[in-house]
Amino acid sequence: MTAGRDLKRAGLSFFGDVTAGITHDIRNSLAILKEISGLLSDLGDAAGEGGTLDAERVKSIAGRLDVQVNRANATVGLLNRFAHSVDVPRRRIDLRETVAMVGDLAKSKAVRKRVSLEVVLPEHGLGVEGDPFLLEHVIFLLLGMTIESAERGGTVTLALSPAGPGATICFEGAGRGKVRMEGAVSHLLTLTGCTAEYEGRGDTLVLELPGRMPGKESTDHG
Amino acid sequence: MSELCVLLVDDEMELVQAMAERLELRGFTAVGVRSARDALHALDEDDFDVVVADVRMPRMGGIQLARRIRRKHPGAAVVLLTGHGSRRDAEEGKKAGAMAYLAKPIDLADLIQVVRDAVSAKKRRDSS
Repeated sequence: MTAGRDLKRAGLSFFGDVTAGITHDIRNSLAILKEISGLLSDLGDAAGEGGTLDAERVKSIAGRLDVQVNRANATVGLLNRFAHSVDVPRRRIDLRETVAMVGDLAKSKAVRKRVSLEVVLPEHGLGVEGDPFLLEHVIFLLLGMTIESAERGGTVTLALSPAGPGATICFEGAGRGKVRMEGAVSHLLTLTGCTAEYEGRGDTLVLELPGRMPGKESTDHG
Repeated sequence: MSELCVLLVDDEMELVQAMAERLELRGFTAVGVRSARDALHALDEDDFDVVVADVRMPRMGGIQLARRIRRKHPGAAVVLLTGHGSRRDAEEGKKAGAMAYLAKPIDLADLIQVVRDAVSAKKRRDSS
């Protein structure tokens, strides 16, 4: 299989991984909405059978519904933003938005691994030019590697900072040493013009991003 | 007299709370906890007829919890819930000792039926 095909497959796998995680969250929200609306209906039935309807309780349940609707809306918004990252192969990328979004996408992965995930963003806007989907993919993979290698109960920090015309993203908290950059990660690093190296004993991985990523108008990522 | 005594386990506390309130309106005794570890503590403290647990939870999932319940609290039947409904989870859950498996979002009437069936099936299995 060629490197291009490998990357296409890896891109689809990334999309699938994210979509599976988000649909799980949406299902959870729907399950909660169903139970809370069912509870409201139960209270209505009880009142219809001669019981009393506690107005404060109904108001509180309506508030609980509202919280869940807002939560589900935020989840769908996250999926929508992610889905639009394949709209154009090259554009100015708002790194604060991108890093925050990848952090949100990886949150459930961190929860499953019993790791706390913190995202640290600079105060001011920071941008580079390149393919947003490829950049999200490489950040997601490196973050996933860091989460996988972190100590149980530990904290992984994803920190963005400016560096010359580009930026640096630090993945802190890897606890079980260095992972080799190979396969899709290696290929994505080449395509994005980024470099990734471990610092010190290997508990921090540093991704250096150029101000302008290589490539012209089209990048084949499936 | 109370219907069955149900322990609900899900890291989505709002889901657990709403299900517990609805089951109690129907005469069940329902206790909700947000982790498998809390569930094991609750089982050490009280007797439950059935444990309804989510498959996917941080730290310890429902399948692992079902295995621990089978060893430490064999009197409780286990019903698993999932957001995915995969066949593999269902098979693993069964091997771990779960009596039934439901996909979210669930219908409360279905849950109640499954809970009653699981408790009856467990009693039959334990007495045979």
